[in-house]
Amino acid sequence: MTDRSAAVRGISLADAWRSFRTAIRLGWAIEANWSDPFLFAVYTMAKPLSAAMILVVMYSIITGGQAGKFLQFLIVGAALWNVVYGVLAGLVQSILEDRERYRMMKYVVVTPSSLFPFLLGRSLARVGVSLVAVVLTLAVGVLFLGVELRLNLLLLVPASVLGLVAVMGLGIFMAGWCLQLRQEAWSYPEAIAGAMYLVSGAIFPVNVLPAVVQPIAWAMPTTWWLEASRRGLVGHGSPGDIGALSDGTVMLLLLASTVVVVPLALAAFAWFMRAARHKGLLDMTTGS
Amino acid sequence: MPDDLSIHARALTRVYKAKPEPVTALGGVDLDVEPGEYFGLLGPNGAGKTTLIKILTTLLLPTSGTARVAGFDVVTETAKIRRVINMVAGGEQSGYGLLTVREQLWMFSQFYGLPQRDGWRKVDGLIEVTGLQEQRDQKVRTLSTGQRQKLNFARGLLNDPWVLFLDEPTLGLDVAAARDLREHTLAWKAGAPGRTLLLTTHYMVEAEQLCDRIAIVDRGRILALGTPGQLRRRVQAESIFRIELDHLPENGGLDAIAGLPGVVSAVRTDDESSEGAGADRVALKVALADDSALTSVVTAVAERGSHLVGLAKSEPSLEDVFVELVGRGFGASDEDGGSRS
Ligand SMILES: Nc1ncnc2c1ncn2[C@@H]1O[C@H](COP(=O)(O)OP(=O)(O)OP(=O)(O)O)[C@@H](O)[C@H]1O
Ligand SMILES: [Mg+2]
Repeated sequence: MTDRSAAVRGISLADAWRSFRTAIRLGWAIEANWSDPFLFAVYTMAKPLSAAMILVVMYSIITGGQAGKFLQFLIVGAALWNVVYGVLAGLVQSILEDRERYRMMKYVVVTPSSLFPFLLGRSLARVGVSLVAVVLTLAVGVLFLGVELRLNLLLLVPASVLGLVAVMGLGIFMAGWCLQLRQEAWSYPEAIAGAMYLVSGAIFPVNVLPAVVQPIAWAMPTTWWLEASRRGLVGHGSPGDIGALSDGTVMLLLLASTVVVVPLALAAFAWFMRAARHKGLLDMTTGS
Repeated sequence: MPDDLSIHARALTRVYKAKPEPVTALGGVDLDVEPGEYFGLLGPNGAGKTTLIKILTTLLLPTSGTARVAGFDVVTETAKIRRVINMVAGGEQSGYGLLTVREQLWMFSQFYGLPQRDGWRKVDGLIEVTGLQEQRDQKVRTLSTGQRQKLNFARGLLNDPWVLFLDEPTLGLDVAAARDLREHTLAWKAGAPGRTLLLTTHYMVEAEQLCDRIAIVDRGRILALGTPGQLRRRVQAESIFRIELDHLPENGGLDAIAGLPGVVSAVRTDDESSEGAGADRVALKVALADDSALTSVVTAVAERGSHLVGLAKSEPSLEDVFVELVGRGFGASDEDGGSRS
């Protein structure tokens, strides 16, 4: 048996990388449904753009056209949130679609590649699609709403990398959680993403949040990612306490919260997978 | 020792938490399958066959007991098991509809860690073997059920598994496609020594044709295990008669016959020869401890208003073994499937 055991390696990094690349391709093929370009355009561009514009109009009316810097805060937040939403909703949808619609999850699970690089790859394809919305929203901001870009790549690039890692970590956590859910509960993760939107300072400065939720905002990597990205894109952060922190402190908080959240998310995912194996949920179809 | 076996299970149980009360899908299964062996699981619906396959393919954890596949523990050594097994389930509509046949197979070749070029070569080879050449660039969502199943089967061979699990692989296939698939399965075995198969099926012919040994399972337990010949010999001691009647006997019908002294079992068999011969006509398979009990059966039938239209002594088949052990025929539920004395 020793010779047989030797023939069986564990999962190597190269294997994980291969699965990851393949999953990006699959994700792209599925997300970017080119067979219906109209629908694709509506979902990737028109929808996020109109959502951002509604916010802008509301604020302009409330502030009587005196929005100024706050408008920049708003537009950058609304633009970047597309990435968070794309990854979170995307991962949740990927895992459920795979199990319930394509019914392929069990076949992916029984391959030596773990679900993990597979999910990451699929979510990265989502990031690609959501970037279209980010760029478009920012472009509208610059062209028509007086947003001034003052790029600081030294801040923007590391912030984007860390932010993406953190958001994917959160997405993986939610995907694992979703494995436990029946169809009727699928909207929970979406509700959580919505709550994060409000808490992370995407459209409301953290200062205006009720005092009880402010600590949550300070612990979320998304808060620091948005803050660092704002500084890297338009040269200033959000109004309030957070905006007064130095760039270094913001980056440090982003790094710290990411380093805490991501391992926790991965551990939770492993636990969720085992629970799913225990309950026999990996090949369930919970619908109807 | 157990490490040399392809499959080794001891006291394997699985209990599902379910609504009114927990369901025991496996109630203590012991099973050894040798490398190179084709092994069949036969059993009625709900017997626990799929549950056993799910545990062995690392999709489900057992409640208690141990199981090893290719020498690796199903609970703790999943990564190793997943390298050397593959699984194909029948009768389902699975597939990434937006990918083409070739793309979907290629994707899985990557999950199995095949280098790019080997991956494509393997994919094209399997497309040819399973006869999907014409569909190779067709989107999966446009495939027919049978074509999807061929695709599924091709995926199952991508990693040259040591142990292949087939769960009702020919469900929903037409006669020719089912035969093709069985032939591929046999050809695959011949391709290299040591290739092992665990098959579940409801078709006796399929089990006989493919399997070296067969286990008959019901309610989560193995009731009998052996080569098809050994299993048939279990019922050889009895005489089996095929009795054709113009209609089902009245008052008590089958149960009354099954209850006669000397009758081991009596069930309805709806095979080809009774088809089309008149709507009410039925064929029964009656197992007798002794030929002499036939007289009382014929009398009982006549007393209940049925007329004999055919009578033949038949060689025991796997189905007879099955009926004898499980107490009911295939496709028949507990209520209408006759009974044992
Ligand atoms: N997830 C589950 N939750 C509760 N009970 C389950 C679950 N899966 C299977 N069962 C029950 O376990 C028993 C065995 O099911 P299993 O699918 O293993 O049977 P099977 O032999 O494959 O049957 P079939 O021939 O119909 O495919 C059945 O009584 C079934 O209802
Ligand atoms: Mg089954």
